[in-house]
Amino acid sequence: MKRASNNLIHRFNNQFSVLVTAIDAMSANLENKEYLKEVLEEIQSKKNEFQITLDEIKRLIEEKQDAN
Amino acid sequence: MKCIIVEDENLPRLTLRGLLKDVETTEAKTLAQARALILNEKFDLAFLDLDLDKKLAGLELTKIAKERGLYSIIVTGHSDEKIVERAYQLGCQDYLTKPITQKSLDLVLKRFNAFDSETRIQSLIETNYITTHAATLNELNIIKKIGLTDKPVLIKGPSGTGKRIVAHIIRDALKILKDKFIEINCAQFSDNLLESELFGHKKGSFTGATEDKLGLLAKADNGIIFLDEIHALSKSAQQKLMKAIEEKEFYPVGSTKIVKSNFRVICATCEDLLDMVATKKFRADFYARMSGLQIQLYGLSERKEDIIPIINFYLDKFARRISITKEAKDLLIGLDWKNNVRDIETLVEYWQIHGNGIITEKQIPEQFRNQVSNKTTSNVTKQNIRLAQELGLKDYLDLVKSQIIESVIEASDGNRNEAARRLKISKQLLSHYQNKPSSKEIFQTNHGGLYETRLQ
Repeated sequence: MKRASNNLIHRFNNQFSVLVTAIDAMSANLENKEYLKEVLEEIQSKKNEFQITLDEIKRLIEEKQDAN
Repeated sequence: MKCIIVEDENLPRLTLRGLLKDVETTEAKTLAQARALILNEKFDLAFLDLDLDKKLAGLELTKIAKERGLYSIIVTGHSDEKIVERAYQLGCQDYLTKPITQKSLDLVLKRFNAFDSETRIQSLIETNYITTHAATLNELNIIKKIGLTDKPVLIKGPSGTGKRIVAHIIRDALKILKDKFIEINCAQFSDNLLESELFGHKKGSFTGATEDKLGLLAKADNGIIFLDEIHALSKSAQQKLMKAIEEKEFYPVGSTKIVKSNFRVICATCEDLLDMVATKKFRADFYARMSGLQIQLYGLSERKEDIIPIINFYLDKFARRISITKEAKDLLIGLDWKNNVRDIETLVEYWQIHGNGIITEKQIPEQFRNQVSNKTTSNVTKQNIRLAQELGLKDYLDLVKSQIIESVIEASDGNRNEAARRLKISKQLLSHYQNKPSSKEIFQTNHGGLYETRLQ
Protein backbone atom coordinates (compact mmCIF):
# COMPACT_ATOMS: atom_id res chain seq x y z
CA MET A 1 0.00 0.00 0.00
CA LYS A 2 2.77 2.37 1.04
CA ARG A 3 4.90 1.47 -2.01
CA ALA A 4 1.94 1.96 -4.36
CA SER A 5 1.35 5.34 -2.76
CA ASN A 6 5.02 6.33 -3.20
CA ASN A 7 4.99 5.34 -6.85
CA LEU A 8 1.88 7.38 -7.38
CA ILE A 9 3.39 10.44 -5.72
CA HIS A 10 6.53 10.04 -7.85
CA ARG A 11 4.46 9.77 -11.05
CA PHE A 12 2.31 12.76 -10.07
CA ASN A 13 5.42 14.79 -9.29
CA ASN A 14 6.96 13.96 -12.67
CA GLN A 15 3.86 14.72 -14.68
CA PHE A 16 3.12 17.92 -12.78
CA SER A 17 6.74 19.12 -13.16
CA VAL A 18 6.69 18.44 -16.89
CA LEU A 19 3.50 20.47 -17.20
CA VAL A 20 4.87 23.38 -15.17
CA THR A 21 8.08 23.46 -17.24
CA ALA A 22 6.04 23.28 -20.44
CA ILE A 23 4.10 26.36 -19.29
CA ASP A 24 7.46 28.16 -18.72
CA ALA A 25 8.59 27.18 -22.24
CA MET A 26 5.31 28.34 -23.77
CA SER A 27 5.54 31.66 -21.91
CA ALA A 28 9.01 32.16 -23.40
CA ASN A 29 7.67 31.50 -26.92
CA LEU A 30 4.35 33.36 -26.98
CA GLU A 31 5.16 34.86 -30.38
CA ASN A 32 5.81 31.41 -31.89
CA LYS A 33 2.32 30.08 -32.75
CA GLU A 34 3.70 26.89 -34.33
CA TYR A 35 5.59 26.03 -31.17
CA LEU A 36 2.60 26.74 -28.91
CA LYS A 37 0.41 24.51 -31.10
CA GLU A 38 2.97 21.70 -30.97
CA VAL A 39 3.23 21.82 -27.17
CA LEU A 40 -0.55 22.06 -26.65
CA GLU A 41 -1.08 19.03 -28.92
CA GLU A 42 1.48 17.09 -26.91
CA ILE A 43 -0.20 18.07 -23.61
CA GLN A 44 -3.53 17.05 -25.15
CA SER A 45 -2.11 13.61 -26.07
CA LYS A 46 -0.96 13.18 -22.47
CA LYS A 47 -4.30 14.23 -21.04
CA ASN A 48 -5.46 10.63 -20.48
CA GLU A 49 -2.26 9.74 -18.60
CA PHE A 50 -2.69 12.82 -16.37
CA GLN A 51 -6.36 11.93 -15.81
CA ILE A 52 -5.46 8.35 -14.77
CA THR A 53 -3.00 9.70 -12.20
CA LEU A 54 -5.57 12.14 -10.85
CA ASP A 55 -8.19 9.38 -10.60
CA GLU A 56 -5.76 7.14 -8.71
CA ILE A 57 -4.95 9.94 -6.28
CA LYS A 58 -8.63 10.62 -5.76
CA ARG A 59 -9.27 6.92 -5.10
CA LEU A 60 -6.35 6.71 -2.66
CA ILE A 61 -7.62 9.74 -0.72
CA GLU A 62 -11.13 8.25 -0.57
CA GLU A 63 -9.71 4.92 0.69
CA LYS A 64 -7.78 6.71 3.43
CA GLN A 65 -10.83 8.71 4.45
CA ASP A 66 -12.92 5.46 4.62
CA ALA A 67 -10.22 3.77 6.72
CA ASN A 68 -10.35 6.66 9.19
CA MET B 1 26.26 27.68 -30.42
CA LYS B 2 24.88 24.38 -31.69
CA CYS B 3 23.18 21.98 -29.32
CA ILE B 4 21.68 18.49 -29.42
CA ILE B 5 18.73 17.52 -27.19
CA VAL B 6 18.52 13.79 -26.62
CA GLU B 7 15.20 12.86 -24.99
CA ASP B 8 12.77 10.05 -25.79
CA GLU B 9 9.70 11.73 -24.33
CA ASN B 10 8.09 14.34 -26.55
CA LEU B 11 6.91 16.91 -24.03
CA PRO B 12 10.19 17.27 -22.07
CA ARG B 13 12.08 17.45 -25.38
CA LEU B 14 9.76 20.13 -26.76
CA THR B 15 10.00 22.02 -23.49
CA LEU B 16 13.79 22.02 -23.52
CA ARG B 17 13.76 23.26 -27.11
CA GLY B 18 11.40 26.07 -26.06
CA LEU B 19 13.58 27.09 -23.12
CA LEU B 20 16.66 27.06 -25.40
CA LYS B 21 14.96 29.32 -27.93
CA ASP B 22 18.08 31.40 -28.66
CA VAL B 23 20.19 28.32 -29.36
CA GLU B 24 20.34 26.31 -32.59
CA THR B 25 19.02 22.89 -31.58
CA THR B 26 18.84 19.40 -33.11
CA GLU B 27 16.77 16.66 -31.50
CA ALA B 28 17.17 12.91 -31.13
CA LYS B 29 14.58 10.50 -29.69
CA THR B 30 16.59 7.28 -29.53
CA LEU B 31 20.04 6.14 -28.49
CA ALA B 32 20.91 5.07 -32.05
CA GLN B 33 19.72 8.36 -33.54
CA ALA B 34 21.67 10.34 -30.93
CA ARG B 35 24.83 8.29 -31.43
CA ALA B 36 24.72 8.81 -35.21
CA LEU B 37 24.13 12.56 -34.89
CA ILE B 38 26.89 13.10 -32.31
CA LEU B 39 29.37 11.09 -34.34
CA ASN B 40 28.59 12.77 -37.66
CA GLU B 41 27.70 16.37 -36.87
CA LYS B 42 29.42 19.17 -35.02
CA PHE B 43 27.77 20.28 -31.79
CA ASP B 44 28.96 22.48 -28.94
CA LEU B 45 26.83 21.01 -26.19
CA ALA B 46 24.52 18.07 -25.59
CA PHE B 47 21.56 17.66 -23.23
CA LEU B 48 21.39 13.92 -22.61
CA ASP B 49 18.42 12.19 -20.99
CA LEU B 50 19.90 9.62 -18.65
CA ASP B 51 17.14 7.01 -19.06
CA LEU B 52 16.97 6.96 -22.81
CA ASP B 53 15.58 3.74 -24.40
CA LYS B 54 16.94 1.73 -21.50
CA LYS B 55 18.05 2.54 -17.99
CA LEU B 56 21.12 4.81 -17.82
CA ALA B 57 21.71 4.71 -21.60
CA GLY B 58 22.62 8.42 -21.38
CA LEU B 59 25.89 7.41 -19.70
CA GLU B 60 26.94 5.65 -22.90
CA LEU B 61 26.32 8.84 -24.86
CA THR B 62 28.36 10.80 -22.32
CA LYS B 63 31.43 8.83 -23.32
CA ILE B 64 30.87 9.47 -27.03
CA ALA B 65 30.17 13.16 -26.39
CA LYS B 66 33.44 13.46 -24.49
CA GLU B 67 35.37 11.85 -27.34
CA ARG B 68 33.79 14.36 -29.74
CA GLY B 69 34.73 17.29 -27.49
CA LEU B 70 31.15 18.20 -26.57
CA TYR B 71 30.12 19.85 -23.35
CA SER B 72 27.52 17.35 -22.13
CA ILE B 73 24.78 17.84 -19.58
CA ILE B 74 22.95 14.85 -18.14
CA VAL B 75 19.22 15.52 -17.69
CA THR B 76 17.37 13.21 -15.34
CA GLY B 77 14.87 12.73 -12.59
CA HIS B 78 17.50 10.73 -10.64
CA SER B 79 19.37 12.49 -7.90
CA ASP B 80 21.36 9.44 -6.84
CA GLU B 81 24.85 10.72 -6.04
CA LYS B 82 26.52 7.54 -7.32
CA ILE B 83 24.94 8.02 -10.74
CA VAL B 84 26.01 11.68 -10.77
CA GLU B 85 29.55 10.67 -9.86
CA ARG B 86 29.59 8.00 -12.59
CA ALA B 87 28.37 10.54 -15.16
CA TYR B 88 31.14 12.97 -14.23
CA GLN B 89 33.72 10.18 -14.38
CA LEU B 90 32.59 9.37 -17.91
CA GLY B 91 33.06 12.96 -18.99
CA CYS B 92 29.81 14.86 -18.51
CA GLN B 93 30.42 18.46 -17.45
CA ASP B 94 27.09 19.31 -15.89
CA TYR B 95 23.98 17.74 -14.44
CA LEU B 96 20.40 19.00 -14.68
CA THR B 97 17.72 17.52 -12.45
CA LYS B 98 14.12 17.49 -13.60
CA PRO B 99 11.97 19.52 -13.39
CA ILE B 100 14.09 21.87 -15.53
CA THR B 101 13.42 25.55 -14.93
CA GLN B 102 14.55 28.53 -17.00
CA LYS B 103 16.72 29.55 -14.04
CA SER B 104 18.50 26.20 -13.74
CA LEU B 105 19.00 26.09 -17.52
CA ASP B 106 20.42 29.64 -17.57
CA LEU B 107 22.94 28.60 -14.91
CA VAL B 108 24.01 25.61 -17.00
CA LEU B 109 24.44 27.84 -20.07
CA LYS B 110 26.46 30.34 -18.05
CA ARG B 111 28.81 27.56 -16.92
CA PHE B 112 29.08 26.33 -20.51
CA ASN B 113 29.98 29.83 -21.76
CA ALA B 114 32.77 30.13 -19.17
CA PHE B 115 34.09 26.69 -20.17
CA ASP B 116 33.75 27.45 -23.88
CA SER B 117 35.55 30.77 -23.52
CA GLU B 118 38.59 29.18 -21.80
CA THR B 119 38.73 26.36 -24.34
CA ARG B 120 38.47 28.82 -27.24
CA ILE B 121 41.20 31.07 -25.83
CA GLN B 122 43.44 28.05 -25.17
CA SER B 123 43.01 27.10 -28.81
CA LEU B 124 43.77 30.69 -29.92
CA ILE B 125 46.99 30.65 -27.89
CA GLU B 126 48.08 27.24 -29.19
CA THR B 127 47.36 28.21 -32.80
CA ASN B 128 49.06 31.61 -32.74
CA TYR B 129 51.98 31.40 -30.31
CA ILE B 130 54.49 28.57 -30.62
CA THR B 131 55.84 27.68 -27.20
CA THR B 132 56.19 24.89 -24.70
CA HIS B 133 58.16 27.14 -22.34
CA ALA B 134 56.44 26.82 -18.95
CA ALA B 135 56.90 30.45 -17.85
CA THR B 136 55.63 31.78 -21.20
CA LEU B 137 52.61 29.46 -21.05
CA ASN B 138 51.85 30.75 -17.55
CA GLU B 139 51.96 34.32 -18.81
CA LEU B 140 49.77 33.54 -21.83
CA ASN B 141 47.19 31.91 -19.55
CA ILE B 142 46.50 35.40 -18.17
CA ILE B 143 44.64 36.04 -21.46
CA LYS B 144 41.96 33.56 -20.35
CA LYS B 145 40.98 35.89 -17.51
CA ILE B 146 41.34 39.12 -19.45
CA GLY B 147 37.61 39.34 -20.19
CA LEU B 148 36.79 39.47 -16.48
CA THR B 149 38.12 43.03 -16.19
CA ASP B 150 38.52 46.07 -18.43
CA LYS B 151 41.95 47.01 -17.02
CA PRO B 152 44.68 48.08 -19.48
CA VAL B 153 47.11 45.33 -20.45
CA LEU B 154 50.89 45.78 -20.63
CA ILE B 155 52.80 43.29 -22.80
CA LYS B 156 56.51 43.27 -22.01
CA GLY B 157 59.33 41.45 -23.75
CA PRO B 158 62.39 41.81 -25.95
CA SER B 159 62.05 42.76 -29.59
CA GLY B 160 60.79 39.92 -31.79
CA THR B 161 59.09 37.92 -29.04
CA GLY B 162 55.58 38.33 -30.47
CA LYS B 163 54.06 41.17 -28.44
CA ARG B 164 51.89 42.16 -31.40
CA ILE B 165 50.75 38.55 -31.86
CA VAL B 166 49.73 38.43 -28.20
CA ALA B 167 47.77 41.68 -28.65
CA HIS B 168 45.96 40.05 -31.58
CA ILE B 169 45.21 36.95 -29.48
CA ILE B 170 43.67 39.24 -26.84
CA ARG B 171 41.62 40.94 -29.56
CA ASP B 172 40.27 37.57 -30.72
CA ALA B 173 39.78 36.35 -27.15
CA LEU B 174 37.61 39.38 -26.44
CA LYS B 175 35.82 38.93 -29.79
CA ILE B 176 36.70 42.47 -30.88
CA LEU B 177 36.05 43.09 -34.58
CA LYS B 178 39.19 43.70 -36.66
CA ASP B 179 38.18 47.26 -37.57
CA LYS B 180 37.74 48.01 -33.86
CA PHE B 181 41.33 47.01 -33.10
CA ILE B 182 43.38 50.14 -33.68
CA GLU B 183 47.18 49.83 -33.70
CA ILE B 184 49.70 52.61 -33.40
CA ASN B 185 53.46 52.55 -32.95
CA CYS B 186 54.26 55.42 -30.59
CA ALA B 187 57.89 55.57 -31.77
CA GLN B 188 56.83 56.51 -35.31
CA PHE B 189 55.32 59.89 -34.43
CA SER B 190 56.56 63.16 -33.04
CA ASP B 191 54.81 64.42 -29.88
CA ASN B 192 52.41 66.80 -31.59
CA LEU B 193 51.59 64.43 -34.38
CA LEU B 194 50.99 61.58 -31.95
CA GLU B 195 48.52 63.65 -29.91
CA SER B 196 46.67 64.56 -33.09
CA GLU B 197 46.62 60.87 -34.13
CA LEU B 198 45.38 59.67 -30.75
CA PHE B 199 42.90 62.39 -29.82
CA GLY B 200 42.06 63.81 -33.26
CA HIS B 201 42.06 67.51 -34.08
CA LYS B 202 39.82 70.37 -35.09
CA LYS B 203 40.20 72.06 -38.46
CA GLY B 204 42.58 75.01 -38.20
CA SER B 205 43.98 74.00 -34.82
CA PHE B 206 47.50 73.96 -36.28
CA THR B 207 49.20 74.50 -39.64
CA GLY B 208 48.19 71.69 -41.91
CA ALA B 209 44.99 70.85 -40.02
CA THR B 210 42.81 71.51 -43.06
CA GLU B 211 39.86 69.50 -41.78
CA ASP B 212 38.48 67.91 -38.61
CA LYS B 213 40.17 64.60 -37.85
CA LEU B 214 38.75 61.73 -35.82
CA GLY B 215 41.36 60.41 -33.37
CA LEU B 216 42.33 56.76 -32.99
CA LEU B 217 40.89 56.67 -29.45
CA ALA B 218 37.49 57.63 -30.89
CA LYS B 219 37.86 55.01 -33.63
CA ALA B 220 38.54 52.40 -30.95
CA ASP B 221 35.14 53.00 -29.32
CA ASN B 222 33.90 49.61 -28.00
CA GLY B 223 37.19 48.14 -29.17
CA ILE B 224 40.90 48.15 -28.39
CA ILE B 225 43.68 50.68 -28.93
CA PHE B 226 47.05 48.93 -29.13
CA LEU B 227 49.93 51.26 -28.30
CA ASP B 228 53.15 49.59 -29.39
CA GLU B 229 56.50 50.91 -28.08
CA ILE B 230 54.70 52.81 -25.31
CA HIS B 231 58.09 53.80 -23.83
CA ALA B 232 58.42 56.28 -26.73
CA LEU B 233 55.34 58.23 -25.55
CA SER B 234 56.25 61.71 -24.26
CA LYS B 235 55.42 62.56 -20.64
CA SER B 236 52.91 65.15 -21.80
CA ALA B 237 51.14 62.59 -24.02
CA GLN B 238 51.26 60.10 -21.12
CA GLN B 239 49.41 62.58 -18.93
CA LYS B 240 46.70 63.22 -21.52
CA LEU B 241 46.31 59.54 -22.27
CA MET B 242 46.08 58.66 -18.60
CA LYS B 243 43.17 61.08 -18.18
CA ALA B 244 41.47 59.65 -21.27
CA ILE B 245 41.91 56.05 -19.97
CA GLU B 246 40.45 57.01 -16.61
CA GLU B 247 37.52 59.09 -17.85
CA LYS B 248 36.94 57.48 -21.26
CA GLU B 249 36.57 60.98 -22.68
CA PHE B 250 38.97 63.59 -24.07
CA TYR B 251 39.28 66.77 -26.10
CA PRO B 252 40.64 66.58 -29.67
CA VAL B 253 43.54 68.98 -30.31
CA GLY B 254 42.17 72.54 -30.66
CA SER B 255 38.61 71.52 -29.78
CA THR B 256 36.44 72.44 -26.80
CA LYS B 257 33.96 69.68 -27.59
CA ILE B 258 34.45 66.56 -25.49
CA VAL B 259 34.56 63.16 -27.22
CA LYS B 260 33.48 60.01 -25.41
CA SER B 261 34.90 56.62 -26.32
CA ASN B 262 34.70 53.29 -24.53
CA PHE B 263 38.10 51.90 -25.52
CA ARG B 264 40.36 49.34 -23.88
CA VAL B 265 44.12 49.87 -23.87
CA ILE B 266 46.83 47.34 -24.65
CA CYS B 267 50.41 48.64 -24.48
CA ALA B 268 53.62 46.91 -25.47
CA THR B 269 57.25 47.67 -24.75
CA CYS B 270 60.68 46.13 -25.02
CA GLU B 271 62.08 48.57 -22.45
CA ASP B 272 62.19 48.25 -18.67
CA LEU B 273 59.47 50.78 -17.79
CA LEU B 274 60.17 50.50 -14.05
CA ASP B 275 63.73 51.52 -14.76
CA MET B 276 62.42 54.43 -16.84
CA VAL B 277 60.12 55.39 -13.96
CA ALA B 278 63.11 55.30 -11.58
CA THR B 279 65.12 57.55 -13.88
CA LYS B 280 62.05 59.82 -14.31
CA LYS B 281 61.81 59.15 -18.05
CA PHE B 282 58.34 57.66 -17.60
CA ARG B 283 55.48 58.87 -15.41
CA ALA B 284 54.95 56.67 -12.35
CA ASP B 285 51.20 57.42 -12.24
CA PHE B 286 50.78 56.53 -15.92
CA TYR B 287 52.75 53.33 -15.41
CA ALA B 288 50.50 52.38 -12.49
CA ARG B 289 47.41 53.09 -14.60
CA MET B 290 48.41 51.18 -17.72
CA SER B 291 50.06 48.16 -16.15
CA GLY B 292 47.04 46.68 -14.36
CA LEU B 293 47.49 43.37 -16.16
CA GLN B 294 50.98 42.42 -17.30
CA ILE B 295 52.12 39.72 -19.69
CA GLN B 296 55.86 39.05 -19.79
CA LEU B 297 57.30 37.41 -22.90
CA TYR B 298 60.74 35.82 -23.02
CA GLY B 299 63.51 35.89 -25.62
CA LEU B 300 64.53 32.72 -27.47
CA SER B 301 67.75 32.51 -25.46
CA GLU B 302 65.51 31.65 -22.49
CA ARG B 303 63.21 29.40 -24.57
CA LYS B 304 65.70 27.08 -26.28
CA GLU B 305 63.00 24.39 -26.60
CA ASP B 306 60.95 26.67 -28.87
CA ILE B 307 63.71 27.41 -31.43
CA ILE B 308 63.35 24.36 -33.70
CA PRO B 309 59.49 24.33 -33.65
CA ILE B 310 59.51 28.04 -34.64
CA ILE B 311 62.04 27.38 -37.43
CA ASN B 312 59.82 24.52 -38.66
CA PHE B 313 56.78 26.83 -38.54
CA TYR B 314 58.49 29.29 -40.90
CA LEU B 315 59.89 26.51 -43.09
CA ASP B 316 56.35 25.13 -43.51
CA LYS B 317 55.25 28.48 -44.96
CA PHE B 318 57.35 27.85 -48.05
CA ALA B 319 56.56 25.28 -50.71
CA ARG B 320 60.19 24.15 -50.90
CA ARG B 321 60.95 21.31 -48.49
CA ILE B 322 64.05 21.80 -46.37
CA SER B 323 65.43 19.53 -43.69
CA ILE B 324 68.03 20.39 -41.06
CA THR B 325 70.80 18.05 -39.95
CA LYS B 326 71.15 17.20 -36.27
CA GLU B 327 74.47 19.06 -36.03
CA ALA B 328 72.92 22.16 -37.59
CA LYS B 329 69.96 21.92 -35.18
CA ASP B 330 72.35 21.76 -32.23
CA LEU B 331 74.15 24.82 -33.52
CA LEU B 332 70.86 26.67 -34.08
CA ILE B 333 69.73 25.91 -30.52
CA GLY B 334 73.01 27.32 -29.22
CA LEU B 335 72.68 30.62 -31.10
CA ASP B 336 71.86 33.80 -29.27
CA TRP B 337 68.95 34.97 -31.52
CA LYS B 338 69.34 38.59 -30.46
CA ASN B 339 66.33 39.68 -32.49
CA ASN B 340 64.44 36.53 -31.54
CA VAL B 341 61.81 35.37 -34.06
CA ARG B 342 62.81 38.13 -36.51
CA ASP B 343 66.24 36.47 -36.81
CA ILE B 344 64.58 33.11 -37.48
CA GLU B 345 62.44 34.68 -40.23
CA THR B 346 65.56 36.21 -41.80
CA LEU B 347 67.46 32.92 -41.64
CA VAL B 348 64.63 30.88 -43.16
CA GLU B 349 64.29 33.43 -45.97
CA TYR B 350 68.06 33.17 -46.53
CA TRP B 351 67.80 29.37 -46.80
CA GLN B 352 64.99 29.68 -49.32
CA ILE B 353 67.26 31.73 -51.55
CA HIS B 354 70.71 30.31 -50.84
CA GLY B 355 70.27 26.92 -49.26
CA ASN B 356 69.82 23.52 -50.82
CA GLY B 357 67.36 20.91 -49.53
CA ILE B 358 69.49 19.96 -46.53
CA ILE B 359 70.72 22.54 -44.05
CA THR B 360 74.08 21.75 -42.49
CA GLU B 361 76.17 23.89 -40.15
CA LYS B 362 77.73 25.53 -43.24
CA GLN B 363 74.38 26.99 -44.26
CA ILE B 364 74.18 29.03 -41.03
CA PRO B 365 75.73 32.41 -41.93
CA GLU B 366 78.43 34.07 -39.84
CA GLN B 367 76.12 36.93 -38.83
CA PHE B 368 74.12 34.42 -36.74
CA ARG B 369 77.11 32.41 -35.53
CA ASN B 370 78.82 35.60 -34.35
CA GLN B 371 76.01 36.06 -31.90
CA VAL B 372 77.36 33.05 -30.01
CA SER B 373 80.84 34.49 -29.66
CA ASN B 374 79.44 37.94 -28.94
CA LYS B 375 77.56 36.52 -26.03
CA THR B 376 80.41 34.55 -24.58
CA THR B 377 82.80 37.44 -25.03
CA SER B 378 80.52 40.19 -23.78
CA ASN B 379 82.32 40.25 -20.42
CA VAL B 380 85.02 37.67 -20.98
CA THR B 381 87.34 37.81 -23.99
CA LYS B 382 88.39 34.85 -26.12
CA GLN B 383 91.88 35.31 -24.68
CA ASN B 384 90.47 35.02 -21.12
CA ILE B 385 88.77 31.76 -22.05
CA ARG B 386 91.91 30.38 -23.69
CA LEU B 387 94.03 31.30 -20.64
CA ALA B 388 91.52 29.73 -18.24
CA GLN B 389 91.68 26.52 -20.25
CA GLU B 390 95.46 26.54 -20.44
CA LEU B 391 96.16 27.49 -16.81
CA GLY B 392 93.20 25.77 -15.20
CA LEU B 393 90.27 27.79 -13.84
CA LYS B 394 91.55 28.03 -10.25
CA ASP B 395 94.99 29.35 -11.19
CA TYR B 396 93.46 31.64 -13.76
CA LEU B 397 91.03 33.17 -11.20
CA ASP B 398 93.89 33.61 -8.72
CA LEU B 399 95.77 35.39 -11.46
CA VAL B 400 92.83 37.69 -12.18
CA LYS B 401 92.49 38.49 -8.48
CA SER B 402 96.21 39.27 -8.07
CA GLN B 403 96.22 41.54 -11.13
CA ILE B 404 93.15 43.43 -9.87
CA ILE B 405 94.81 43.83 -6.48
CA GLU B 406 98.01 45.14 -8.07
CA SER B 407 96.01 47.66 -10.11
CA VAL B 408 94.04 48.88 -7.08
CA ILE B 409 97.22 49.19 -4.96
CA GLU B 410 98.72 51.23 -7.78
CA ALA B 411 95.55 53.38 -7.94
CA SER B 412 95.78 53.86 -4.15
CA ASP B 413 99.31 55.26 -4.48
CA GLY B 414 100.79 52.11 -3.01
CA ASN B 415 98.63 52.32 0.12
CA ARG B 416 97.76 48.67 0.83
CA ASN B 417 95.26 49.56 3.60
CA GLU B 418 93.38 51.83 1.24
CA ALA B 419 93.45 49.15 -1.52
CA ALA B 420 92.04 46.53 0.90
CA ARG B 421 89.29 48.99 1.96
CA ARG B 422 88.37 49.74 -1.66
CA LEU B 423 88.19 46.04 -2.51
CA LYS B 424 86.28 45.26 0.71
CA ILE B 425 88.76 42.50 1.66
CA SER B 426 91.12 42.06 4.60
CA LYS B 427 94.78 43.18 4.42
CA GLN B 428 95.77 39.52 4.92
CA LEU B 429 93.79 38.36 1.91
CA LEU B 430 95.27 41.19 -0.13
CA SER B 431 98.78 40.00 0.81
CA HIS B 432 97.83 36.39 0.04
CA TYR B 433 96.89 37.19 -3.55
CA GLN B 434 99.81 39.57 -3.98
CA ASN B 435 102.13 36.71 -3.18
CA LYS B 436 100.55 34.41 -5.79
CA PRO B 437 102.78 33.66 -8.81
CA SER B 438 102.26 35.79 -11.90
CA SER B 439 100.71 34.50 -15.10
CA LYS B 440 104.15 34.31 -16.59
CA GLU B 441 105.36 32.08 -13.74
CA ILE B 442 102.23 29.92 -13.86
CA PHE B 443 102.56 29.41 -17.58
CA GLN B 444 106.24 28.64 -17.32
CA THR B 445 105.41 26.04 -14.68
CA ASN B 446 102.65 24.49 -16.75
CA HIS B 447 104.22 24.64 -20.18
CA GLY B 448 107.90 25.15 -19.64
CA GLY B 449 107.86 28.09 -22.03
CA LEU B 450 107.56 31.85 -21.97
CA TYR B 451 104.13 33.43 -22.18
CA GLU B 452 103.17 36.97 -21.48
CA THR B 453 99.75 38.44 -21.48
CA ARG B 454 97.60 41.07 -19.89
CA LEU B 455 94.13 40.16 -18.85
CA GLN B 456 91.50 42.00 -20.85
